[in-house]
Amino acid sequence: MRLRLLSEGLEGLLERLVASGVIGGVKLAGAARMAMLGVGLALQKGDMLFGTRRDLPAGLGRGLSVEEVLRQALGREGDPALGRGMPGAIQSSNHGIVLTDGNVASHTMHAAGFGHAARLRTAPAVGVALFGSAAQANGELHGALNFAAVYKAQTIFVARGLRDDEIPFSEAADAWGLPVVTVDGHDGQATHEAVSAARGRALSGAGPTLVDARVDGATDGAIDAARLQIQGGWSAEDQVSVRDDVRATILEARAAAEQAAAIQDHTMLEAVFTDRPWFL
Amino acid sequence: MAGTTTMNLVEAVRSALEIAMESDDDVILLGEDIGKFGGVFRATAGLQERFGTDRVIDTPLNEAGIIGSAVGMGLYGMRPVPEIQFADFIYPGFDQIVNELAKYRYRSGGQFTCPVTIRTPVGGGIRGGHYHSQSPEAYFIHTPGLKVVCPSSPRDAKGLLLSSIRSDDPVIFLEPKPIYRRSIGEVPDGDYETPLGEARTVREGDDVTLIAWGAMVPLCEEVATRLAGEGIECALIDPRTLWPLDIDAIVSSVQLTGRCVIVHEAPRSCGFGAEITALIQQRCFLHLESPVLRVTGYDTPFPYTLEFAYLPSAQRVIDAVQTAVSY
Repeated sequence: MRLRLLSEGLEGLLERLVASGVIGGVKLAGAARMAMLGVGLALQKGDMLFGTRRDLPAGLGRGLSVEEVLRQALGREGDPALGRGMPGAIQSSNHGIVLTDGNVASHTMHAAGFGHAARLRTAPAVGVALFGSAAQANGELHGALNFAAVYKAQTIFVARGLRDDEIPFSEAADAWGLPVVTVDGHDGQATHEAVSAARGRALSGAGPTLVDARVDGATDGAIDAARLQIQGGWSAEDQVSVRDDVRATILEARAAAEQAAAIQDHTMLEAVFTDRPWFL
Repeated sequence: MAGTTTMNLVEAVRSALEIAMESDDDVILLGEDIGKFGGVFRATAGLQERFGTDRVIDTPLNEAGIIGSAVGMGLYGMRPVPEIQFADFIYPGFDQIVNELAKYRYRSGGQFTCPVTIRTPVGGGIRGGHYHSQSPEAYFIHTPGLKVVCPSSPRDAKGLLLSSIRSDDPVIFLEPKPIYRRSIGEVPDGDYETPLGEARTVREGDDVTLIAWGAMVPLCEEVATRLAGEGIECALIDPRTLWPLDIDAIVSSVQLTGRCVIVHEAPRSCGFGAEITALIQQRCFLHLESPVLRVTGYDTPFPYTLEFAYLPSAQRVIDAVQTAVSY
């Protein structure tokens, strides 16, 4: 629950920074938040998360700190990507995260290739692709599903966000040759369990899985909160206490990020190639 | 001590692939019909038999998929060498090349690298029409983050391909298919690398500098030989690595000759010849005795029936040289 509140609070701050003209646009997790958190928490060291910058909560689940996110969004030192992505487009080799701002499904192919390579090396690692409904009309997603299935790649595809009018994935699963596991995307724990199981399946050599964690409407986090309350693990006092803690964490992170030095102009010419060529 | 073997350009490509795979388990090949069939030009013949289906991978017919999954494999730490059967079919994978492969290092501040070498045959003159004849080098040279290589001899093809595969930067390796079998030469046995970014001076000369790559190099060699009989000595420079270009080799030759003719198959406007021309005028202005001239394909789609009218011919190059000399 703390992570959910942290994610909401961080997004709120980013929206305010956008509104005040401090940073460029952000994309909000919306109804996909719990699924994203579930995915991020299910991954292990060595895994690689491929998503869009909307998938920031998955990055938080993967261990990304609020301060790291804010340094990236504000273009401050400490962003290992040197301020080159729009807010939320986190690139972190330490955390195994690549969140892009490119075409809707380009990154799904990378997850398929990463998972294929991991399978060839019999490595305990998976590539995970998070994507939204817009990707379903894009050929690259279908290509990624095809490639991953053909080569039994250690890849997990997770559809998140609102369920629109697309053909259900189950209709096409036979064509792609990979199993589809459907969960309620409002249910972070269920998503976590499905992705963990898919991970185990991939590492066993059984191939990729498509986890359909889409939702029909926005009831962000209610299921997990209710479950915790029923189990006695979440009280009104907890709610207040954690909210205060989250607020303090975000304020502290913001202060640290804002005090950090800006990315320097001279870095613009760095890392185009391994070595700087004569024309740069 | 290693000797040499006579082989053609496509055999040299195959030799390089075999050596790269022998020397590094992370090198894998993927593409359409490259495994069991050995590739439409036979560049991968026998390699699947030797290295297995996990390292020489027959893929679905999906260029974006081939390149996109190679990007993912590169991120994992492998050195994939995808083949796009004809450069004309590279465009479905254009987004993966231009927006993903080329930019991964930059957009991550150097954290992630994609050591992917995309091999693809280019060029016309094989009766292939506009979907089997194009020369798309300018698109990729224009994309920051890519190295672009185009050999013109078997020796260079082998050495440059080994360097490309071992480079930590993504490389577009353009193979001039019109001379796949016509270009024959002595190739050193075993493992050697030809450094990227170094031009080859094919011929010395002090009247005019010819600059050409790929299948235009043997054409210009023929021209230089013919013109030498008329008392015109042409230098011929093959950049080999189109980008990053060995500008120093070009400048030193043009400063000597004062005249330059650039020859390429691709359409003229915004072709790579235009960039070379700009660099020459910037660095050699006071040495020039005549304008830099270009002999290129026309600004049309590649025409099937009229392909030999479209492609630079020896006579068109001779005319340009004589124009430069008599300016």
